[in-house]
Amino acid sequence: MSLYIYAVMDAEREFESPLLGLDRSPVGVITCGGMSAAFSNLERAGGSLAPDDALVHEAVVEQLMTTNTVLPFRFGALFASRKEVQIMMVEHVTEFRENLARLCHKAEFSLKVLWPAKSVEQQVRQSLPPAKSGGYGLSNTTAGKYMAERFGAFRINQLMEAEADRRIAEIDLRFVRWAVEKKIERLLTPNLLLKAVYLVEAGRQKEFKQVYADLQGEAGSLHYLFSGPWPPYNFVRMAKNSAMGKCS
Amino acid sequence: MNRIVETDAPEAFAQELAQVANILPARIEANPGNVDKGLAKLVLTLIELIRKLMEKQAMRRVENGSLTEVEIERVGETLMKLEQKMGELKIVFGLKDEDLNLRLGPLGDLM
Repeated sequence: MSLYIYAVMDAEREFESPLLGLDRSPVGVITCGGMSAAFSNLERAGGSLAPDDALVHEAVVEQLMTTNTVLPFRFGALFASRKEVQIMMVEHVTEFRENLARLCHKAEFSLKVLWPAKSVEQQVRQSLPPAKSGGYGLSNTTAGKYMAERFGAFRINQLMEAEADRRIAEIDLRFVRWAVEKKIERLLTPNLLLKAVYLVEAGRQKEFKQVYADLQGEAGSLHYLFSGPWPPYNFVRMAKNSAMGKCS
Repeated sequence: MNRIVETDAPEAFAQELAQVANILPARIEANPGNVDKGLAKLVLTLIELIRKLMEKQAMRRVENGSLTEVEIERVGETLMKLEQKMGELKIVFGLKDEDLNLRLGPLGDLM
């Protein structure tokens, strides 16, 4: 039997109402240093997990989040015994406390934005001045033509990136004023202009959501995927090889 | 919890996010029957990375005007031959362009 860990919380108390975890096992707490780890017993051979278990994990973390500040553990964190969990909590007590204090009364929101990469590229191409004979003033030899072709692609790529940065800055500016932290990734695929997560205080969530509502009402070629509030998965700061992702 | 999940393009997002999610680290296929291809893939990936960095640097220098015409010719010829040679090696080892990348988990793709 293993112990499956869902999250570390900022309180040392049992749950008021019963909560069921993986395999409908009751979720309990292991307390340590003013905090507690929410866990349930996992009796499967080898502790194997299926994709659907991730939904249960998420549901438990969300339920915990309604009453506590939580540091969600990565899906699949298994420990051999209560003692091992307590050792892990003692080892990371300072990190857990810092994170719990920083994330208290805050939740994560996710924003993803698609742009029409092909049509933007078309516009970028049209905006380029026509290449001189030989292309960009390069010679008309085979090597010169090759370089002209590559340089053309390089310029288009540069301009696409600049355009992406401009559009991301416009979008981010509207959201970031209501957030305390953010993480942004751009162009993970040619069409996925922006993948962002924002950490938003409970008292600012209404305004944050309103920004999205306003964006939706505006005409444009961008598509949005907006969700939240979520447990702050992306804002827990732990040292590498930390307990948050540990699987035994 | 008052959660919202909203989008105006669910299929398009599903398609794009499937590409992003498919980033399980690519590993060297170093099983006894496939060790040549696994190593070739790793070596060619690194060569391709260096080739792309060289090309980018060359393009920056073309942009800045810091290469003479003769130098541009020479660089162009080198890059062109390198690309041709890479193409030949990919065929020899049965590799495609998309094979020559390493997924570095949270660090993203090597190329």
